[in-house]
Amino acid sequence: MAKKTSRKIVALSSAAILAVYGAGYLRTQSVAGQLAQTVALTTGLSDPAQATAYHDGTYSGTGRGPFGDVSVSLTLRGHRIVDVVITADTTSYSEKWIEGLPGEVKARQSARVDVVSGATFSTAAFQQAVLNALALARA
Amino acid sequence: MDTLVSITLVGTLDKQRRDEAAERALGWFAYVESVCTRFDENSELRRLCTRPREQTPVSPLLGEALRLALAMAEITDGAFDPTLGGALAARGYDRDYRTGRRSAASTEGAEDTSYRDVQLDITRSTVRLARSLSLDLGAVVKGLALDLAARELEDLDLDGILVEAGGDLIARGVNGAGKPWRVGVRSPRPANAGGFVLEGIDEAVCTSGDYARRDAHGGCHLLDGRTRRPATAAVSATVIAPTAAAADLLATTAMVLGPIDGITLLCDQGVEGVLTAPSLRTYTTRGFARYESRTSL
Repeated sequence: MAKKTSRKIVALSSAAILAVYGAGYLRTQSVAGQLAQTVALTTGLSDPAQATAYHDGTYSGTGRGPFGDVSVSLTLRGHRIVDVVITADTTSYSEKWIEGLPGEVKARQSARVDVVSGATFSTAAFQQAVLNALALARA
Repeated sequence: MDTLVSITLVGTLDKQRRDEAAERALGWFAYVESVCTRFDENSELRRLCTRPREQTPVSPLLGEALRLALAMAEITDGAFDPTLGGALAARGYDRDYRTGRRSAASTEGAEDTSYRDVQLDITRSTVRLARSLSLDLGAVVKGLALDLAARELEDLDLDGILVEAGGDLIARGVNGAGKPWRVGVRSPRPANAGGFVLEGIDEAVCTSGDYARRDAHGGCHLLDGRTRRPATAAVSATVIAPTAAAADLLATTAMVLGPIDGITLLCDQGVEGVLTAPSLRTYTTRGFARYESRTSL
């Protein structure tokens, strides 16, 4: 590697951050829309006023993690989450770590679950799966 | 960006300022993705690719992301290459893994495009693609989004911040216990021992691995730009650097280069890191040991 390129990537990245941050971003429709979606998905159906945005039906979602994926099937009826099933779990860890999470989703009517210590990647993958399924229910 | 973003703030801050700052920080992730994603045909990146052989104005974000990616390609003679979008799509990486929707990602340029086909004029903020090709900036954008989100939180006068997205993170200041941040890095093969605990992290830590998102043949999603085939020389790479954009890009590239050339690259670029070979033997930069903790998390 030529000497003149030494430390170039860090330097360029610092300059990039300054330039892009300085330029800022417009809260365009698409960005605002994505943020609104994110907030809505985390709130889920826990707010009855928001819950009407979710259509009844059964939806699948998959969350990907560093050690495998978790897939769920969510059933919505009457604008409530009535069933949550883990349909696939390719994580290297035993499913017992996350088997309590579907119950939490039903109780809270959202993807907000307590992180399982020692199973943060599986929990995150499960949460992402639920969020993805909810996104389809809102579409 | 395929995972949850987590923001941890340590210190005293009123709720409104906290929520506004967190929302602005998250907004950077949404914005970076909307501009740079290969999976949405309306992104600025995809629209640029519909205009080969034309001088096209680009936003500061797309211009800077390309500039970084092209610099990395030049330094490594194309081992890292941002024009592999077509090759990736041809191997099945053609869907947004959050929604599962196929987005008719372009497979153009699957055979022989290279970074040399991208001509960037950073002063005029224009790009000219010499031919039809499909850009992929996956190695840069998550890190860059992390940096921008962290920048958004820096003015809050906090004792510490931690921004984390899918295993990559930026830590600054101190944690809730008033101590420097400690970060765990998992072994790439969880059934085996290994993995590290890093202490005193006041910068970015990004990890690239072969265990996520494999293709139909079991190949890793990182392609070697020289062969257009999955990288096999390393199973994971973790880089500690002042910026997440650099850490992300260098970890990805080091994976492609493998332990010897990868560590050489990290040393040359003035960052610390560790590479794990397929044998699970680890290779580290000289200063990496300084971060390793003697105690477990």
